[in-house]
Amino acid sequence: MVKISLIINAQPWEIQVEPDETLLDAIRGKVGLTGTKKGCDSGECGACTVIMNGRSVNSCLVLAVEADGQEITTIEGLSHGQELHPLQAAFISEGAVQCGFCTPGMIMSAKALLDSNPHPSEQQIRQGMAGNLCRCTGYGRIVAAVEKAAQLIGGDRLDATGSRQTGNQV
Amino acid sequence: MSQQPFQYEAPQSLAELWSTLDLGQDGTRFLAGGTDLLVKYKRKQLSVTRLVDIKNIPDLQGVWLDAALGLRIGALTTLTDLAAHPLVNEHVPVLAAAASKMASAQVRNRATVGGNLCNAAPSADLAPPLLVLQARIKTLSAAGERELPLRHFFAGPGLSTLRPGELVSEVILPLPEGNTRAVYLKQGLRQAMDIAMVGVAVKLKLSGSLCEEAAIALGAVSPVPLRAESAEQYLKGRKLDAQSIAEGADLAAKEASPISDVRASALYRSQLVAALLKQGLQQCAGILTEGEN
Repeated sequence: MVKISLIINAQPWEIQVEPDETLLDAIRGKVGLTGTKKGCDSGECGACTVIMNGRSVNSCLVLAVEADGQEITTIEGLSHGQELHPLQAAFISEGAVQCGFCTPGMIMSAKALLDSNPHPSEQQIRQGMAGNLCRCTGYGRIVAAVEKAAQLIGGDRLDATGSRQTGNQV
Repeated sequence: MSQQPFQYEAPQSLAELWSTLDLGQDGTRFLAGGTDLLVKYKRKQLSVTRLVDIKNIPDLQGVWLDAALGLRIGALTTLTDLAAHPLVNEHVPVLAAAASKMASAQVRNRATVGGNLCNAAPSADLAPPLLVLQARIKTLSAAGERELPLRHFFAGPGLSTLRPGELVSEVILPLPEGNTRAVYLKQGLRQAMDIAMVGVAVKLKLSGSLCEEAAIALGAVSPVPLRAESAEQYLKGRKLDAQSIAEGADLAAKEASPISDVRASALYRSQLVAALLKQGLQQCAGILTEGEN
């Protein structure tokens, strides 16, 4: 076992991990934050997406030892108490959640996208979320939720009539 | 992960790396982005007894211009950084475009230039554009450094000509001349997260519609990414028109030796080579014509 120190959702943690333990298994098993999901465990599905030092990563393809000294944000780090992050609120109001298994990864990818590009086009959203698979709904409502969250966060993508300039009309 | 865990080390410098590296030990692996290595390890396709994480070594990082050599790209440059880097976009935009189309944002944030090459997949998306850009590979080992053309780097599927204890430190690109244009076209089932059935890179030096020089590289259609030399020689000195483009595309398709696998049949791949190359030649010629007006 190896001792590592890292920041998860603004809290410092010191945990013991195996050298070949993934960041995903450490987050779920050692830290006890089970919002981050294990789907394919091989970087294909995106259910395990977390943000490490400002960039989205598949936590199944990062060793816990590689995260020593790094700063991680998981789905649990987005809300402020009872107040949901705009992405979480938009996923609910747009009906972008069915079984919910892909949702934490979807939201973390969307957060990384909006952090670097606050007003993405529909195409940019689809490209930015290409590493996250949903097997329930298709992607229309998920894209609509990210567009809505971008509006909630930025609020300046409406034209004079109050309609969205791009994306699906609601 | 239920296998015998490996020993993990993360040297902070080359000196520390060479002082601790034990070449007598089978199963010593260098770790960069890990997006290929960790998947192979989990699938028990790779035995690892000692994992040496090279990500903290400064000598392997950065992108910079060298007046004598050209653009130098550190092996640890991630695909995200490659796609966004101003020098890459200014001098070799084809490489930035190729990187931006690979895998997913999450994978691009970890995967590295050196890793994509060392993994030596016949379908590696960086290989065709780097081959037409005449990339050279700089390697380092405890014995010193060496430099070789990228075309001598690949030895077979998953195999490179790296020696034990040697790692890729940089990719070096001579700056393309002003009147050259290059494109990389790949075909997969999806636009993202897919391994190319075929990848084709084209670089043309044109004078009007006359092709002064052509460089063409093919991915995923032979054991190693290769230059389509007979098509290059045919196109050199020729006027680019419908007939010469079709003939060049056919010649390139004959140089490919694809296999049939889960992604596509050999026949389909051969036809894709011709179709993508035709498109690539037209795009390069079209872009240049527009640029000269």
